[in-house]
Amino acid sequence: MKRRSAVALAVVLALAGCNANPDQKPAAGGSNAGTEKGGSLTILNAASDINFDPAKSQNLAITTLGLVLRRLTTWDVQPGKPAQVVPDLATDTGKTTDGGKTWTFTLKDGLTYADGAAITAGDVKYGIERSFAPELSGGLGYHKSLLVGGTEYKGPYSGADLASVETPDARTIVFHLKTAYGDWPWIVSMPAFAPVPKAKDDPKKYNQNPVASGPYQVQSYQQGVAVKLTRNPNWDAATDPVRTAGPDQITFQLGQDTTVQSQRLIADSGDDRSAFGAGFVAPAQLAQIEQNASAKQRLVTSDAGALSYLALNTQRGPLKDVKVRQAIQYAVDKRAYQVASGGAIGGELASTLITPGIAGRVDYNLYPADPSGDVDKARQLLGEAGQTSLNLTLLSENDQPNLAKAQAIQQGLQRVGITVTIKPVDEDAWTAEVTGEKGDYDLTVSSWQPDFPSANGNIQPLFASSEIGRGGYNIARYSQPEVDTLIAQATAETDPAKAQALWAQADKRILQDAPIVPLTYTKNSFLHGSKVQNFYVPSFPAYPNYLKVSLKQG
Amino acid sequence: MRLLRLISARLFGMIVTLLVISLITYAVFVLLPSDPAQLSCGRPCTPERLADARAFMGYDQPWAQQYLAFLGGIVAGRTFGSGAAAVHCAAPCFGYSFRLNDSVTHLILERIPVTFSIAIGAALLWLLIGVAAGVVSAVRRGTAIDRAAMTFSTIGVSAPSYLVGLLGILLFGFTLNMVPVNGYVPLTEDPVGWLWHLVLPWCVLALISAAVYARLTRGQMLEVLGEDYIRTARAKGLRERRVVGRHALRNVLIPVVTVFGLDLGSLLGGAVITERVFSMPGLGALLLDAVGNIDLPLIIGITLFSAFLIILANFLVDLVYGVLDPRVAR
Amino acid sequence: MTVSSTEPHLAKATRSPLLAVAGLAVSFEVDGDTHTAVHDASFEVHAGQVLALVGESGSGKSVTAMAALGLLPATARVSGSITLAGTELIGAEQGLLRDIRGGRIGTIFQEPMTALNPVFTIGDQVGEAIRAHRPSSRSAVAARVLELLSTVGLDDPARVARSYPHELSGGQLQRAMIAMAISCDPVLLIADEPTTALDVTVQAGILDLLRDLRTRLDMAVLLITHDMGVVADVADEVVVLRDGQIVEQAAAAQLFAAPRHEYTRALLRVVPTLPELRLAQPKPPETPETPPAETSAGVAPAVLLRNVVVEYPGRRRGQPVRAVNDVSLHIDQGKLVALVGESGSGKSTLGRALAGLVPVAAGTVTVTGVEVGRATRRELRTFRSRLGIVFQDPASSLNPRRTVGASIAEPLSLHTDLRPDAQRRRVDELLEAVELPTRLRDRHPYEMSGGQRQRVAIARAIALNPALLIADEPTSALDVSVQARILELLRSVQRRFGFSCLFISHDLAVVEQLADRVAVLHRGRVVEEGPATTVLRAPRHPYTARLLAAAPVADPRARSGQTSRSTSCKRRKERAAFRHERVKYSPAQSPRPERPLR
Repeated sequence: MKRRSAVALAVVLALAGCNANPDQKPAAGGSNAGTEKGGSLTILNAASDINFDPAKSQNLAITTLGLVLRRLTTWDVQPGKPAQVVPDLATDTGKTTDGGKTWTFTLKDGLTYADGAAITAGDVKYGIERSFAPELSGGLGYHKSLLVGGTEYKGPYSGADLASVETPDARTIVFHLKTAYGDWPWIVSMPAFAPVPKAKDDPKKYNQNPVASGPYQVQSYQQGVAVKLTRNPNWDAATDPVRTAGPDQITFQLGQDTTVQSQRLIADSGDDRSAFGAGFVAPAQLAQIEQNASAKQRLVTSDAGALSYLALNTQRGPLKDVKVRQAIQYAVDKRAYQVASGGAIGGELASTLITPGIAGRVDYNLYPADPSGDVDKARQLLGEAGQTSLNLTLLSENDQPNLAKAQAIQQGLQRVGITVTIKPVDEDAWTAEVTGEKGDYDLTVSSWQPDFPSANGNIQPLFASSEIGRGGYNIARYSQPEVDTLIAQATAETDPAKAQALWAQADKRILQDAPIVPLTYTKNSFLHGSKVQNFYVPSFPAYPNYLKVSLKQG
Repeated sequence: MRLLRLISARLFGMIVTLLVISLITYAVFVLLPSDPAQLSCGRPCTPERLADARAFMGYDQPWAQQYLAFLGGIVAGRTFGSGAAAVHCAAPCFGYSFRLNDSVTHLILERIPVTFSIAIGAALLWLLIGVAAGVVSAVRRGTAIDRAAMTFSTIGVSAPSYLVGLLGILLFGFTLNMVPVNGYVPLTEDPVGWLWHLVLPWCVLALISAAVYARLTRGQMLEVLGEDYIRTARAKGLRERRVVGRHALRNVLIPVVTVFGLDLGSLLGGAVITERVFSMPGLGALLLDAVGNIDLPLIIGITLFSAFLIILANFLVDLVYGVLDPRVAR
Repeated sequence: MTVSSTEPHLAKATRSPLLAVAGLAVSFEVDGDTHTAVHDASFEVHAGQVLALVGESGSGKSVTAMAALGLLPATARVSGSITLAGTELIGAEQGLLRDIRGGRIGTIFQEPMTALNPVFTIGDQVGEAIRAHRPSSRSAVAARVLELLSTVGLDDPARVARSYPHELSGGQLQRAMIAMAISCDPVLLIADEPTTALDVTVQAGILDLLRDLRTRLDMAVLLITHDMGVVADVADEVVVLRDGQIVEQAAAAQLFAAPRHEYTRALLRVVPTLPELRLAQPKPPETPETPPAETSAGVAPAVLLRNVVVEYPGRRRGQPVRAVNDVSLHIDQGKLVALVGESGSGKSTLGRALAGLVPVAAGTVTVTGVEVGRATRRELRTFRSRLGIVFQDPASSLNPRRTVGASIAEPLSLHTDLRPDAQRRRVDELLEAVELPTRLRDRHPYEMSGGQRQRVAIARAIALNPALLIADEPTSALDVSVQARILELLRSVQRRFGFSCLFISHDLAVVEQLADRVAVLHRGRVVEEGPATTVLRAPRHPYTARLLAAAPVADPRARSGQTSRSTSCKRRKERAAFRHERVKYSPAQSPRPERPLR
């Protein structure tokens, strides 16, 4: 899971925390209709490249790779409902007999690749193994440290195999984990759990031409220009409950300037009527769309999704004092921050760590205040902490949107006598600083969208003490043994309901210590052509569900 | 014989320059805080996985050694990793993009036809328009034509190409529906489509650059028209058309050609913004993409290639000079 | 007063005039102001006659000629009348004027180097003049070009025709210009300062040629010049112009014998004249005496050159050209030594070697005790701080973007640690020394006249109290009257500051006024060296004698005694000027406007 899902989707030049016209209401869920078959769908993409290698891809289950590659499980994302993990290649979402350390999956009967060959458990195992090869690093690798022997394993190309993945027969696959892990059914929905037939594996070419198991296969791949998908004749809809496979053909146009994309979609002429943009609509275009009745109808804004927050470095000077951190909870002007990030269409005010759209979320607010903060309460808490004036450094990325947000924070805290000095650095330096060992900053603004829709993804990467430094994203440098224990418990819990309750407990417990200030749940807006149907953007993940999009016929 | 010697001396100089540029580029990018291995480490990125990725990409070596390996690759090719998944990058290997699973050399070669199509067409167009406008302005100095041309060129010089491109797309692409708004069609596949797709980018680039050339030509022309030999030409009884078109223009073209050569040289390295706006998969788009993804080998490769083009353009300009200006010949 | 029997003007004076200028007035409209260049000028030129229009720059003489050709800029207002054989030229339509230009009136300009288009061959440019008026076949034109080139006394016309202007000497180019001017058998030749930019011996050749052509082709010549020497040499009639007005008009002989107008007298006075020549029989050349290492007083000379050789890489491989060949020379402290010679004689190269700007291939150059070739970097720096240089063209040696004060202060800030206010005082002092008002400090070079600029250049050169000043043709770009004043200044400054001076010049008359000693350089060798009076009055080397003889003398009486030199000079093969510095436009120098982002 990572802070920038934009990067995960390879929607380069992402306008992270995209903002929008404050007056605009989100279109209700998008356009829903029965799936019509046929037509040629175009997806406009800012990136110049799509990596189809399941070992290297960080794609969400519901976007590009999901059209071509099936995995053991996948996500069922429906408007207005939390995302669900559902069986894909497997008959169920996994069975464990020992409390979450060993997981067994059985493949459905009669599954074949596009070339007609049968999909076997061995192929799934091989796909997992190759994700360990340094040559193919870059993908989502949550399984790598969970599987027994995963830390040492260097992939199949040097001849070794990974003993902790067993395939007792062609349809059964068994995973042996180091510790109990209740979200394993989510983990096996990731690209690395797509089957790869060993005989067809050419690690240098696989990124452009994977062996298809989903409803589409790659017909042509022109780097920087376009990728064309056509139907996989051997895909059997009966085995696949989530993919509706409406269009006959899907073309990804690559390297498309985002502004030009928007203009094309606003113009809605010719083939562009059957197109949608994979990237967020930029604020300038949102204003234009507001003026255009036709385009306004075709704009889809997600429900509130990813969390943006102010991290307080809990290991620094006065911020070690929980009272000071709680004072900052009240001092921050969330309204100003929301305005700086584009207003209501850019996000809703946040108060919890687990984000909307994640199963088990409990809505609460430990620090109730007016959207613009509670200055008196903040001063009172500061007084209790014995602080009258504070000087803090806020590390910010140096682009304009981020600086505007940093300034909103700065002005809010100024009201209670906290002087904030903004230290602007570029994106790489920011990443190096916050995920590095030193942590030489007091405050920083960040946002987070999990890689899989479990509360685990909201909590563990940001607040487990194991995630401080060494590339981890616990940028508040929060270390609380009680929370670590809760996280471990919740992680190991295999009963989803119980696990969710534990995560909700952790959520509150952490915010009592106030290591971060939740600011907003961000929203993303997308634009589609007039023939595009079944286009909706849930709160998690706040991206269109490619698997269900279809085109109006006739 | 002399020319041969000149060329070989210049080639040697070019190689030395390129080596220095490559060294500086390498040093700059390696010293930057970002870790290219981090980007291909995946998520979550454990220190062990990071070290593996770094070793595979060769970033675990001291940078001087990395640089030598880079140079070695140009001559002899390189192999990354080992076993069945090893990646071979054949000579001349200017690096390997792990992100795109392709050698930098191949990636650049693939993009050349696009960028060259854009650059050469646009350059010829703006040279033609710019020089013609400049000559007319200079000859009709102070008249309405002059003022109109210069006002137009002021606008052209200060217009951002992104904006001009976008307006062009909106007007000619959407409103008038005259030309396709994006993409590139190879000349070999469909010459008409090639031309049709390139018209708008050419015009946009030509518009902003022709302005520069119009001003340059006008200034040079006014200067040359004040030269003694122009008076001589007139005193010979030549028609004004011949005085301007032959005696003056030949001399005006000398500095214009210099600037043109260098402009073309740098444009051949990629018209970043124009390629982006028109979704042309050229070198500029590739560079933008590489920078966006901190794809170091690709950035270094394209930087070097652009430097090479500019140096080459310099060299060619010098040769053309010899033809245009007999004073530097021989 | 003797008039040469070859002069036809007396016999033809009664004919109707070929060119008649009557009541000509020319004014220019500049930013609403009217500046009058020519007032009410009237004169006539007859066939076969040479009429000289004399005056200093800005007197309106070139404007008059250009008015006849209809080549004045659009801002000019012209009134009055100019007729050529009865045809009115003022206000004539372009087609007619085009036929006249080059067809009936041939024109030669001052600077043959710039008057010919550098990018076309001579043959091309001459041929173009022919074709403009007489459409004919390619081969006929080519043949006519060769004929013309040999008519004007160019050896190897085929090679000249193939050459580009930069490959020929000034004399050759001017001959080519003349060939072009006469290509269509014009009835009138306008020669605008035709010899000003040329060396004396070359100048003499060109004047001879003009005289010869006038006679052979029976052309009228309108000669425009500021040089009374040239006037005396060729003119039949003289019209003296001052500030656009004709102040005197007379036959040449009469004018020189009895100038009526004060201005004419002043013009004649400022012309430097050579001492009377005791030119009996030039002695055979002697080997130049080697200068003593020390002067009689026992003081080391400021400059000592021993057997200096300077070479340049030749056109072909492995054959360096010796620009300076085995030269030995000394300059005593506080003395001014003149180095004379024609273009290509190596005099400028020698100056550069002295300044350490070009390497010496053999021999030693010692300046103020420092051996230039062996000096350490620090010694060289000190040495440079003790050296002042004044170049020919002040316009190009001063940075146009800096004020005069800043230009003068530049060496001060480079070589001294004077504070800004001290620098300012020193600049004022220097401006006073060169007789310029201190208020000019904040002006830019383009706001000043040529003479003022040269004064600034001198002030800059002496800013650091140099031990040695090298003055390379410091006056050749200036008008005569200005020239005289600059020379005076140079002498007074030299006396005041006491530096030694190497004065490089092709102008013997100037040298005579200024130098203590003279060294004559010919093809890289010193052919004669000695006290100025001795060398210039009693030359021992025939080359020196020839140089002296070729110098135009502003007195027609003296001219009559100089008949022998015209033939000798004409036959003298003009060597292609030695060109070391090839024109090179590096791209960096080309204008490079701001680029938009693409």
